[in-house]
Formats: sequence, structure tokens, C-alpha cells
Amino acid sequence: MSDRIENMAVSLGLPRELVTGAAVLSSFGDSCLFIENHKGIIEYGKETIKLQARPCKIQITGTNLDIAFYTAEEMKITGKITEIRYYR
Amino acid sequence: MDRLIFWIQGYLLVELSGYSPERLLNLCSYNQIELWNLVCTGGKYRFFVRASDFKQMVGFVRKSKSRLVILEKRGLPFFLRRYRGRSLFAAGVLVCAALLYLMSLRIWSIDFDGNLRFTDELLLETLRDAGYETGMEKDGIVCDSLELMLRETYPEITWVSAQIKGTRLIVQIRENTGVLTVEPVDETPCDLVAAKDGVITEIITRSGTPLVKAGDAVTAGQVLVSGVVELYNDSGEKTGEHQVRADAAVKAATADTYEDRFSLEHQVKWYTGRERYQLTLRILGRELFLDGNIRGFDLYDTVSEQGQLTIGEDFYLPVSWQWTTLREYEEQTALYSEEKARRLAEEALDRYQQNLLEKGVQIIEKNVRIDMMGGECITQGTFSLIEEIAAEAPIAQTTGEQEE
Repeated sequence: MSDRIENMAVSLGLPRELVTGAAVLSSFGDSCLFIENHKGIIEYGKETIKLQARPCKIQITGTNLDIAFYTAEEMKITGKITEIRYYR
Repeated sequence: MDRLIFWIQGYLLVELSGYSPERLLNLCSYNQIELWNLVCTGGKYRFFVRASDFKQMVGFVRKSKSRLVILEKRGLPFFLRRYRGRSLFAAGVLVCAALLYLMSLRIWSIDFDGNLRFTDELLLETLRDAGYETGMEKDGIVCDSLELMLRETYPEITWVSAQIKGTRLIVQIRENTGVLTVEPVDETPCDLVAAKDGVITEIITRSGTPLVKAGDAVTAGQVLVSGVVELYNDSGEKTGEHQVRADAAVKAATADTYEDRFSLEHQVKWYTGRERYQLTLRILGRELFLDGNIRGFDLYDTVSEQGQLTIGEDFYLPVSWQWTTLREYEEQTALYSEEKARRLAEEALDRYQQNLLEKGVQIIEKNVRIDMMGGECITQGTFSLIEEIAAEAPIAQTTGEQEE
């Protein structure tokens, strides 16, 4: 079902994330990570940040992780990022 | 830019702790509350939040079973609240700004540039008479008419440029170095007579009748060239005469005596080392004397230093000061040494000779002695000169009736 919607959106030329609500991650090296379309924080610690997102959860591992800003649409994580993991 | 907006609105540094702080963070983001610089330290979270959003956050605290502590309050609203007791200070700043603005509307310094012959004081007085003075409003100054007025008052000033810079009025001037005026030619007939005794060495007559020739000894007052020209016919008979303005170059060898004497005793200033000071403040044209105790010395030198308060180069303020120092001295009698006296005498003699040379006089021979006698330095001597001795004088001898 969701694949079909996604295909339709692409053929219509619409941004994929708007239709599916999928998280968009853009990172700057390993020191800075922007996350759009997140659905909230599950856990926040210095070494691990777990986020609720679509279609799955995201776990960011690293050292000295800080949240530079946090709003309903987007957030920015700074620190030394070593791993980004998607899990159910 | 965002930071500035946050600062104006006011923001808080908050510490969050408790059972599930993440829940509070998510509640915040769902309710469009922006958090920034979120840092996790030892199970507690610190972050910044807008002061207006914080009130809304307080409601979520109970829901999430967490605890919020305000660590710092930053921004303009808190700054104003902290210093509200200092309203007079703020008023002072405002009044100061207002005064500065009001003062910037007026001229507080008039400067001249390029004037060599006319002193600043003279030009200032001229401007004052025309209504331009320090303290006047800038709007009242029409530079063009000021320039015209100065040029008309002083024809020697060929170019004037006035400009207002800050609170300064700068008047630049170019002076004409030599104004050509045509002297009316005097056509009255006259004689040339000897101005002093001497022996004629050269005579070139341009008009008139020469009565002496080179080698003649003349005395002061003697007619050298007569303004009367006699007319003769072909047979050598005198037929008439007419009067002209005698004109000739007559040079004669003359003798000149030189004498100069001055006492070896002279007065010198001996500073006692006692000084008195006075500070004068001039504010908006009023003078204020500080430490006015400047009397009590009989003899003293006065040294004054002046200054005016400025902001930058061109913003002059109506506050100026004058620092006056009075240095007491006593007059004491001193004696010139012979060497020093001789040098002074030679300098005076040099000046005299220089003066003669400037007048176009040739010095043929010089015989001068400098002696110290009876506490005086005496310079005596004679000069042999060749100089112009002709002087104009009304026609002396009246010659019969003029024939027609």
C-alpha cells in the first residue's frame, strides 16, 4: 500500500517525504546531523539518542551528543557521531 | 539574527530532571515550543527556552512527572527588570543624547586656513560684525554670502571657501600677494637738489637742465638739476623757457659717520620658580574661573594654553578651557662679557650695513672700531659711500616772466 502511494507521489513529482512522512536525515561529516520529520525522542543520553520516526525508529550512537535545537519538525544533533541505525 | 530576537524576547536556561524527561521534550515539540542547546549532563538535561514558552511548559511538568529548575534568566526583559531602580541613569543617558543632538545643530568652532596677512582675530571680528559667531545655528549660515562678504570686505582676498564640517565652520582663504595699484603720476614741475654733502661721481639727466657735472663737490640743498629748461633759437638767443619735472640719476661719493653705544649693564629675568595657575572653563560663552588666585606677583610672565572639547575631529562642543601659568621673575642687573658685547655691536653694525645695501648704496670704504670704555660698548667709525643723493624740491629760482 505504502509503496503504491510512494510510486504515485514520485510520478506526480511531489516530494517523497511529504507524502509518506518519512524522516529525512542530512549529515555534515560525522559532527552534525539534521533530522526532519521526526516523531519525538524516545531516549536521550550522552552516547545514544533514540528517535521515533517513520517508517522505523532511529538510533544515533556517538560521544558527546547534544541537541542544538529541537522543534516539532526538525532537530539538529551535534557531537561525534559513530553510527546511525534503523530498527523496528 | 535569531539570537538577537531571542535576546529581545528573553529566554531561560532550564534544568530538567525526573522520571521521563524525554516525554516532556516531546510534549514541547508537539506544542511548537522551540528548545535549543540541549545538553545531557549526568541524567539531567539543560536547555534554553523562550520565556513566553516556559509558562506553557510548566503545565506539562506534572504530566511527565519531571522537575524543571530555572538556572538563568537572559535577555532584554530581565535586564530591564534588574535595572529598573536605575531609571535616573537611563534618563541621564537620554538627556545627554538630547543635549548632544541639540548642540550638534550649532557652530562651535570657526577655523581659518590659508590666511597669512589677516589674523584669525581680525577675520573672526569681521565675521562677528556680519552676524557669524560661535554658537549660531548651522541653518543660519549661507556659505555663499559669507564668502562674498569676506571677498568684498578684503579685496586682497581673492578666493574664499566656507564649509560646515560637524560643528566646525572652516573658512579657507587665498590671499593675493601683491595688489597692483596704478599710482597717479605727479606732473608738477620740480628741481632736484642734493640731499647731503658729497662729490658727484655720475649724473644722467632724463629731463631738466643739469647744473653740476661729475667731479663737482655739492652741499646739501644745492640744486643739481633744474626744472627750468631754456629755449634758444638758431642764433643762440634765448627765446623762452618752460618748466619740467626734473628727473635724473645723480650718484655722489658721501661720507657717513656711524655711532652706536650701549651699556654693558643690562636687566635679565631671573625666575624665582614660583608659579601660579588658573584654569578657566568656558561653557556656552560663560567663563568659569577655577583657582582664581593669580594675583600677588609684581613681575611675571603669562603662558596660556587653550583647548576645546571635541568628539572626533569635527564635532566641537561649546566647552573650552584655558590653562594659564604665571611665572614670577625678578629683574637683576648683569654685565655683558667683552666678547658678548663685541658680538652684539657687530650684529648691530651688520644690520646697519645690510640696510644700506638694501637701499642700493655702495660701500666704498669702512673704518669702524669697537671699544669698551667706562662700562659702555662704543662702536664708532666712518663709511665712504656712493649713493643716490637727488631729492625732489619745488623749483627754487623764479625766472623772470615767461615769454609767449
